[in-house]
Amino acid sequence: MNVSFSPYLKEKKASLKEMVSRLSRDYAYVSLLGTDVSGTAYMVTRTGTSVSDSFWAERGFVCRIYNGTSYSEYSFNGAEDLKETEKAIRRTAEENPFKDSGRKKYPVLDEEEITRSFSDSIEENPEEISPRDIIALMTEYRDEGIALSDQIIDMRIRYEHVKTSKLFLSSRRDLEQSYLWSNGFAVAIGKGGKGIQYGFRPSSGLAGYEIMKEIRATLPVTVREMEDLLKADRLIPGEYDIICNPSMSGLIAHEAFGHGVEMDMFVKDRALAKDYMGKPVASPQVEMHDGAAAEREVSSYLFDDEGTLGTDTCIIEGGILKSGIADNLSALLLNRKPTGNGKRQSFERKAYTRMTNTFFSPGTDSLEDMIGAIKKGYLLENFSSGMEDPKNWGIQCVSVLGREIIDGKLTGRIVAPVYLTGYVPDLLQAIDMVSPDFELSGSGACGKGHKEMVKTSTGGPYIKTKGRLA
Amino acid sequence: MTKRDRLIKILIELGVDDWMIKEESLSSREYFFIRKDLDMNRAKDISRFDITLFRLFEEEGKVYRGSAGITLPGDVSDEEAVQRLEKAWFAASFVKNPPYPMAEPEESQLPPVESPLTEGELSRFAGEIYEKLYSSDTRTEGGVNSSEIFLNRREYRLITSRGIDIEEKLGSGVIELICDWKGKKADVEIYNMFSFSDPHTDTIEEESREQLENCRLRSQAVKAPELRDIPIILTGEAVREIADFYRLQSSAKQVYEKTARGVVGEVFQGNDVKGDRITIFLDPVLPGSSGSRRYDDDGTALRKQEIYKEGTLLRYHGNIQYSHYLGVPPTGMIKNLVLEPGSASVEEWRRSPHVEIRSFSAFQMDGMTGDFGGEIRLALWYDGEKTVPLTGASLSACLFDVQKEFYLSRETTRREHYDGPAYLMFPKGHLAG
Repeated sequence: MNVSFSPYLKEKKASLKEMVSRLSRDYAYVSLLGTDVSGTAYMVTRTGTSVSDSFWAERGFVCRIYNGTSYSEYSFNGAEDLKETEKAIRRTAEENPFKDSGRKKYPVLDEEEITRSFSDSIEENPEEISPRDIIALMTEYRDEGIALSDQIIDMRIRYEHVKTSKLFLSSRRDLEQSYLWSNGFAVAIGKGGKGIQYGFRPSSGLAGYEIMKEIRATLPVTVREMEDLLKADRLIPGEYDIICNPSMSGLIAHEAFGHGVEMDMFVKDRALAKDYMGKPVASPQVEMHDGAAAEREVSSYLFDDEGTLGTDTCIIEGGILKSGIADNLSALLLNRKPTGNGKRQSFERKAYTRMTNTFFSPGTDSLEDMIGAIKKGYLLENFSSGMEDPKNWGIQCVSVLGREIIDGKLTGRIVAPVYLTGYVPDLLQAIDMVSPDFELSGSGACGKGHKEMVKTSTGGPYIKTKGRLA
Repeated sequence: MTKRDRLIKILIELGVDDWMIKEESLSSREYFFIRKDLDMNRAKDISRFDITLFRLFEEEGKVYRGSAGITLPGDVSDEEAVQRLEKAWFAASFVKNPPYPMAEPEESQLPPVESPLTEGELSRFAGEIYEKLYSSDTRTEGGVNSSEIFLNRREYRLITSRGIDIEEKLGSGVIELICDWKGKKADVEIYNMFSFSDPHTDTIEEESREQLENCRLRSQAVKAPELRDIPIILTGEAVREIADFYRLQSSAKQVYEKTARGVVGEVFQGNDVKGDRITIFLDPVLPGSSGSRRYDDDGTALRKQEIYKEGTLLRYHGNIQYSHYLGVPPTGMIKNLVLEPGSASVEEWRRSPHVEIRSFSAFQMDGMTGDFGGEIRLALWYDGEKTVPLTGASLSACLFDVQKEFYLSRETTRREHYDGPAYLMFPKGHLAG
């Protein structure tokens, strides 16, 4: 079934278009993004249930305007009195309270004329399913999970669906899109002799209620991960041969050359990648992509929050750094073509260059061959967090657990948690095997620094490399 | 009739047992700089209603209190509001939580939370903040790479079916600051984000000055070797995160869910503590903190609470729901934490060989398992003769394993929602090179 476009945005569109047109008489560039994002988050635990609006729910507008030197923006959510809104936009464009600061000089955005509308489709519309049925099914999953282990103290099931409608208007663009994504997770919390540990498995997709089946399928593996963690040892720090599963390799892609090629960082001279375009940064087996049009996951869309159509950017090809990703204004300053990566946490926030669906492409080596090729090392599974350092190409990826490999065999010994750190090119140039598997996951959120959360997905195949672990 | 009154009327007409409406107006002025040039300015004026509907119901002889929360934009129509509230009211009837009471009206005994950001044009503070932020940016080898200044005002009114009617105006500033420095081999940067409620605070200059100095040191840093059995001194965010771990381990919600180890009357750090024992207060109105509040989101009037004394957990803390489940008086949700300082000076620790970690790429502290660590962006290693700036090593440990012996400095700091020792030292640390 098709995901319908917001009636609210439909109703407001004519008056907003008029406002953009009026402002365009006095300002060389004016655009307006309207968002109507609704969704519900359900959580069932051993001790309680909750139902609330999704964190991602929002409804409002942001107007971008060329102020003669650079760009100003005004975010608002009352579209009842647009005369007052228009005055506030004009005031914002004229404002500069800094005596001693100059303004960055930008050219005027020159957009190609595009009028398009996109409506995605899903199998089962969660908005048509009663909360009674959703909570009942989640409760069933919870009880099913609890029954899987006598070490379990809680099984948490979360399901969230988010319907997005966006409208972009400028003198040359008239774009509409509507799509729906869902994500959820199962968390198994257990207690053992060494304390409390938890297993976690996400499920996500540009999909509706059908994602619930995936959540059920993750229950046994989530509980097993919790049991594994309860018997885990701490790792002896050092450099090891490692295999990263698709979740962990996705995090590496994301932190290493995802954040590393966000071109607003090029503008600020905060990314070393700027000086490495066309140069080898990884082993020849490595190919890496990002793009709203590159795969179908939670960050797939027709256009970004600046009205640029989504693309598929090949970032690394044959180990060579080929391209960065860019929002409109960074592309303008760098004289590059924007790649449809201008994203906002919500209409209330600024747009930055942000990742969409980021992944390593699959290869041809089997996981068995990878394990067989390691004398002493670890298979790193799943991630809990990561942090970028585009200026110095440092990386911090925290893996939930590592499975010990000795003489080409998994020994059954588990270490946790595992901090993978090091110099990005060292890590990527040491990749010598890539599997044909491919998995993407978009259950979490990505920040820029410590804020500006957006939905992204990451993933890829199993990769074998060398890394410094602690 | 105001929109708020119309929403209350709809709730009453729907027969909603209990409800809370939080009406919020949010304004901001935001300035984004690259070096010293203004790259973009933004403004925001929005309004919304956060509404929670509570439903008391009985099923198979058991009583439950269900709830559902929704957010309505300020320009919501009556027709849409009815539709959304009906749906939430229906959903609440399947949320089978054990019953708990609603907060009742109570006058706060605390002074009003004050911030100059609550009055007049927000933009009038921008110039002063910019001056402070860039006052130490005077060197050619390094300086402020980029910064973002957010000046926020939040006005809210909380009304509940039980007669609570609270109005507050809150102001906060948030700064993201990136500094960089030219190194012999490569240029380096250090990232920081901090908040405040008073734009006249010295914190802005201090944060900027410290960050520039750390950046200068990082430009001289060498790759860290593996170091065993060496005292490790933590500062900044790492100390705040560790202090916050103790808050989580004593929260009524985590204790009720059996994911925390705190037991009232017991020494949390164990029976044979060799280091400093923690004394922690939760203080609702810490001066300068952007987290200061007189009431929590339920409308519970907040008071200063002593949580740990000399390592012993005195009480659980939390909102009305989970406090009721545990059978303890609700303290309400309090953001600010005060950790009592120790007796030793960081200067004494610095006289012996040690590693002082000034900056992590991202310090991770798991509030449930106690695992903590991170990659080090800057540490100072004193080997007994000389001090060497280090970078690239990582720290990884479990607080439950090491909490029996750590020491708190007598030097204190007040940053973010924290007031307490500026430094914390583990005497036997292990740094992975």
